[in-house]
Amino acid sequence: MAKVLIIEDDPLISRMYQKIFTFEKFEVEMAKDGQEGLDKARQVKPTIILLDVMMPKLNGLQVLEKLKAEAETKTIPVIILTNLSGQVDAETALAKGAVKYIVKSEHDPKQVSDMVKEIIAGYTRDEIPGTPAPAQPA
Amino acid sequence: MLAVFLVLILVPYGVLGVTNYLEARNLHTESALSSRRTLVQLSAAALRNRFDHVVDVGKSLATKIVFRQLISQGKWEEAVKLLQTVPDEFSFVDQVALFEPGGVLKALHPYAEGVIGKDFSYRDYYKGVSNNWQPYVSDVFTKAAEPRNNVVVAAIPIKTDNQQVLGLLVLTIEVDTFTQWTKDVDVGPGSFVYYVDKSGNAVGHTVYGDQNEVVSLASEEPVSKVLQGERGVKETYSRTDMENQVIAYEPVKNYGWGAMVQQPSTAAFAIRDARLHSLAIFYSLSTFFLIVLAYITYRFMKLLYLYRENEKVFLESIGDGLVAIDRNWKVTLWNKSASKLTGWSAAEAIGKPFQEIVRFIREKDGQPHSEFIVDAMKTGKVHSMENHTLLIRKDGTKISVGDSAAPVFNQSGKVSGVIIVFRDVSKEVELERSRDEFFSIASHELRTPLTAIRGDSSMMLQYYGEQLKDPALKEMVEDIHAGSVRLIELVSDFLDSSRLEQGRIKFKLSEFDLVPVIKSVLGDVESIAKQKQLDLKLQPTENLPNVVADPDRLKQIIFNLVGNALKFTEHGSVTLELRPETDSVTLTVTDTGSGIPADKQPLLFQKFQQAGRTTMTGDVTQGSGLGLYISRMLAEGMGCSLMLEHSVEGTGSTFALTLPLAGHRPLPIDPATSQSKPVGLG
Repeated sequence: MAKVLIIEDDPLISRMYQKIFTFEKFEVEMAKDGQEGLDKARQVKPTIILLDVMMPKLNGLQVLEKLKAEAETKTIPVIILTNLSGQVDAETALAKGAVKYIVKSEHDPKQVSDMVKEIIAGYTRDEIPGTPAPAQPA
Repeated sequence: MLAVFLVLILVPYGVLGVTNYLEARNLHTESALSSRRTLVQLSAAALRNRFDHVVDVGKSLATKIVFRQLISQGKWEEAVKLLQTVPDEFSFVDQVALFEPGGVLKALHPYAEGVIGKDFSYRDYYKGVSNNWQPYVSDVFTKAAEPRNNVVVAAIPIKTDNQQVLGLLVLTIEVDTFTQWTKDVDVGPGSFVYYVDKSGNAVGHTVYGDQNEVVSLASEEPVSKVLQGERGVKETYSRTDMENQVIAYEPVKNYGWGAMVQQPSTAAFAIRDARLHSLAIFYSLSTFFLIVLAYITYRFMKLLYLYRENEKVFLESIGDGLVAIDRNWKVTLWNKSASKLTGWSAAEAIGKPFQEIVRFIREKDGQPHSEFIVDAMKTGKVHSMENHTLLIRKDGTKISVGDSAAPVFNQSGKVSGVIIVFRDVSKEVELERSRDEFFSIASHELRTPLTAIRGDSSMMLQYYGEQLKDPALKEMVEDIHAGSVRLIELVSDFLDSSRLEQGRIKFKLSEFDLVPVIKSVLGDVESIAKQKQLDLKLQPTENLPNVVADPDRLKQIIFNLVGNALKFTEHGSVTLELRPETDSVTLTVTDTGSGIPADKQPLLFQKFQQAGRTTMTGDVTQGSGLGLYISRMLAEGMGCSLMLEHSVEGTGSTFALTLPLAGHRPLPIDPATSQSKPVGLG
């Protein structure tokens, strides 16, 4: 089962992504700041990481640098979550090894999860959650 | 000022006037006196001629042979009979008398009682003629015989051929005759001639010396002088006439007499005085006018000075730095605010090359910025300073400045210099910066909750369909989702336009094929077209060369154009077409929508404009009104152009986006640093 780690400090956003990935049958791990995110990445070895840029403690770019510097985590694809399009941070993130950046406000959560699935398909052999079926909450 | 004028102009003028006056006075005085001299010479000559004539008459009578024989025979009475016709023939002869050589009167015609036989050797004329027995003209004296008139006589000796004196012939001339003679010469108005005899007695004088009286004028200076043989002209005060008189005098040669011409000074100098009078009037008037002129000039200069002072005060009071330069960039004017802003005093700045004193640089690259001045000088139009210009002060510190350069024209309409106005915009820049920051933070902070609303509402619709069976509830959730999407777009547009205006959007230019980009946009909006049953298509084009642009931004523009077309079209189609040209390609987006009214077309690309919309009636469902504004700024920022090609109300519109082809970029822009053109805010 694909495991997604969402590193996002804003509870509104993090809960939203937590829900969509849960609906889409992902195993979801959450981290509320950069340091926690880095620790969890090392610990749970997620299939993919969604990484916010602006965060307390370690910011997204610093987390990315560390992830890419460590053998254990450097192969994990990282998607950068940003607030604005065309920000320098996003460009830098791509240069530092992120696979994509997503402007949060421009996409519905479902579109984000679809993008994540596409990327996982290209990067890993992990099981990808099947074609989305209207999930029923418990 | 006035004093200087007086000294420089009026004093020399005054000196000239006085000199002229004196010269004219001398000249005219001399001229008047000279005419007097001439007249007196004529009068003297006339009297001499008279005397010569009298003597000649006497001589011719005295030398007649018969007459001499009668005298020599002592026949005086017979002799005088020969002379009976003389007073008739010569009107000036009043009486003829014959004397024996000793001075005793022997005969007389016309006859008079009681004098024949008397001895007159005491008389002046006897003494005069007997001196050397030559003809002699006497002084005036009163006759011994009746009527005892005053007379002058000519005494002619009667001689034999061998010079033996036989007697005396005396011709008497009455003083009245002289009075007649004085009228021979016209001596001018108020003027008269008289003679003085050897003793200085007046003869032929209009006032003195009538028939009964002999008046001596010997004591008067001109008379004493003429009797000494001097000639001349003199102005003296006459007690009798109670006024100044000009007296000219001339000796009568051979006879010891003098001729005098007298005239009142007023008459003698009438012409002179008239001339001098007009000269004086001329100088007085011209001096008066000069003074008036000087005064007017003085007032005018004073006004001008005041006006200039006022102007100076105005210039000094202006809060903006104001500097004027001439065509050679030399500083010609420098106000107080310029000193305050730059740190250079007017004394330090004026006359110096402008660039040495005032250094404007661009904030972004530190390069000197003087294009706006060059342009103002060249084009004769007002040119503004670029935004984000810094002024390097005298102490090296920098301040943000803004404003413009305006040309100054000379009288022939040519640019003679430039006036540069600049002011400290540090506060404005700071304000702008903090406003942008606020704007940026606000948009950013708005986005996060909006993203949550959007995301959560979309998930509710997608994953809780069962619970949303009530169509009203579902519609509300749909509205929440749509509303959040619109809000997010609005915030994005605000942020985009703000960043474009500040030149903070960087373009990543690259070469690429335009068609896939267009197709990807069409893919995104396909659903809308389908929903509205509009025919959305791209006309195929073959062998289209690559274009140069920022693909993401280009997508944003095309998205906006196609989105607008779909938004404002209810029936028909939205057609995209590519028109390759030599160095560019133009993408047209044509719709069959409502079209744009002609009067609204010029406003189309302005901020917050949507054709036909006002603040109050604005249809907010149609977007922020920033779309075309942002699109055009994006297009221009990466070297493209965007315009409305044509639009007919009710028929539809065509927008045209022109992109440069690879290798034909109008301006080589380094992709790393290229920025949209800075545009003034607001």
